[in-house]
Amino acid sequence: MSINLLKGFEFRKKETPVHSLDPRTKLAVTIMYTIMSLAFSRPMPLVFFMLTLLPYMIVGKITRRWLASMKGLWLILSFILVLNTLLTSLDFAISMSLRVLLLVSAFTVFFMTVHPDDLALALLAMKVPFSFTFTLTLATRFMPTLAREAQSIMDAQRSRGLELESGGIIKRVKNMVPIIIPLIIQSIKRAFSVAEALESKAFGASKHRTNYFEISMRKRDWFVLLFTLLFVISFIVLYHLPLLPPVFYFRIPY
Amino acid sequence: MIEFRSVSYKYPDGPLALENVSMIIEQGCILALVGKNGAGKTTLVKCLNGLIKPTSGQVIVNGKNTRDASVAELSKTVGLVFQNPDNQLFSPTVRDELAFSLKNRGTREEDLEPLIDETLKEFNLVHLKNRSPFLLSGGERKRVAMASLACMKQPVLVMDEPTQGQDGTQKRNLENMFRRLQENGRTLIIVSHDVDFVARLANRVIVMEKGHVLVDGSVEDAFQSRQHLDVEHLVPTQELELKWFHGMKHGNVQGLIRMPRTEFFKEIRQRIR
Ligand SMILES: Nc1ncnc2c1ncn2[C@@H]1O[C@H](COP(=O)(O)OP(=O)(O)OP(=O)(O)O)[C@@H](O)[C@H]1O
Ligand SMILES: [Mg+2]
Repeated sequence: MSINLLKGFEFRKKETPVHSLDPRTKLAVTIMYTIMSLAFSRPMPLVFFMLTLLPYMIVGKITRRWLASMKGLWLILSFILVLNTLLTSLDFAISMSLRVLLLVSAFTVFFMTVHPDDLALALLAMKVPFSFTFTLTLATRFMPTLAREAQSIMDAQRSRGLELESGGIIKRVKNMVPIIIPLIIQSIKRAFSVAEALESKAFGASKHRTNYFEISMRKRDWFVLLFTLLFVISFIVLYHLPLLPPVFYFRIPY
Repeated sequence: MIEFRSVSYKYPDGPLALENVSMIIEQGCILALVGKNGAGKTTLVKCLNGLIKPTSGQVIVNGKNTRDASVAELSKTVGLVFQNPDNQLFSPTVRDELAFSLKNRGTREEDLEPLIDETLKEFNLVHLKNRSPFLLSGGERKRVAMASLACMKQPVLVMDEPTQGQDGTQKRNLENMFRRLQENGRTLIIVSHDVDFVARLANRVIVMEKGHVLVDGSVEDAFQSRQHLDVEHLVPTQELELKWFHGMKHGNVQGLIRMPRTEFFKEIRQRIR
């Protein structure tokens, strides 16, 4: 279940206008969406922003993969929904679920269309230290590997007669032990071997690294950036004046 | 008994890994699956206990379609040991690792220890019984993984690369043990790149290529000449080349291929004299 979610962070090379945008543009857009998802706690604005992500996903040809990865979110979402409905209100519960959905979607779209190396270049261009950007690239690079590994471990344990789909909550949690432990151990092992490999490739030996590829902001990057920024600012202003149609202020009466 | 009926499988976002595979695997044989990397061996093996349900066609295990049974249920008939032992080891000691499998199977407490000790002895692991599986060598971990499945005494035992990382002594030990298992009526399916190991042990060899069965026959059929191995994308070992050479000279290739190494060399020595 959560494996689907991890797959949402996997980059696939594609030739689309979204993929060819500068990584900094996409990073800025993602950050704007993050701010919007945190700035609003009513259902309608969040639904609206979710909808504005759609054209982006359609042009980037990742709608189907986005849907698949969202399947991994249902457990967390239903948890948020139930708990908040019980403790506060349905309106708030739905808003919070939408917030998580929007947040995760924004990042999924980002990671699905930005190659980890481009992300590193973008951060470097923004004067982030190399050791930090490199750690981040490595982490994103290993997400799908982790997902695949979790799958193999589950397969291996099921072959030994471990039943993952049956039993009560306690049994299910207990059943996760034979999955989690090999996963952690393999991750630690890999961390060590990656570190050794890095050192044997003279990581950090020279202060001045050179890059083979350069990134550059083009006209359309500025266009997308300004457009999104204007859109977001005008939405906030209009929302608070309040000048938007009444549907944006709709509240679930419970 | 296991039957594949025109089985095809395509990974959701990958290639066609099995293409129209049909075969019957009789009880009590040692079947070797060989073929180059990516040929579809692991995929085929995963069909046996229902981890992979064919995209089309059926896999029948003991009269039951794998589509209609859970993996846990099928794992009572088919034990599958994965290529990478690290995918399954998680217990604090080697003993607990075996106990976990046995408990999954519903073994009673009082039967636990005898079964564990018996299996550990077969796999040369007695001295490691109370050690942590994570602190063992690669070859030892591989044996623990095999033991943790073999102890369940399934009628069919499938092993992906059992000789990987095993030294000469352990390999010979495995060979003898697999024979013993066969004598006890268990079916063994072995995926291997180890030509000598397969040649000495198997009753039947299936060579896979690009998802389909290229050759299906006896060891003598599959390994009879260099041309055959070239087509099968296998590299002959020196031992096999010597056997071909001497076999051709004396018109007895078939008789030599399976012969254990020591016996073969004894014979050569006699012929030279
Ligand atoms: N989880 C997966 N998703 C997509 N494609 C896969 C997956 N696992 C295997 N494949 C592909 O299916 C084909 C068959 O793979 P398989 O693992 O069965 O090969 P194999 O014969 O076991 O190879 P090896 O000797 O390297 O173990 C390969 O082309 C491989 O790339
Ligand atoms: Mg394999």
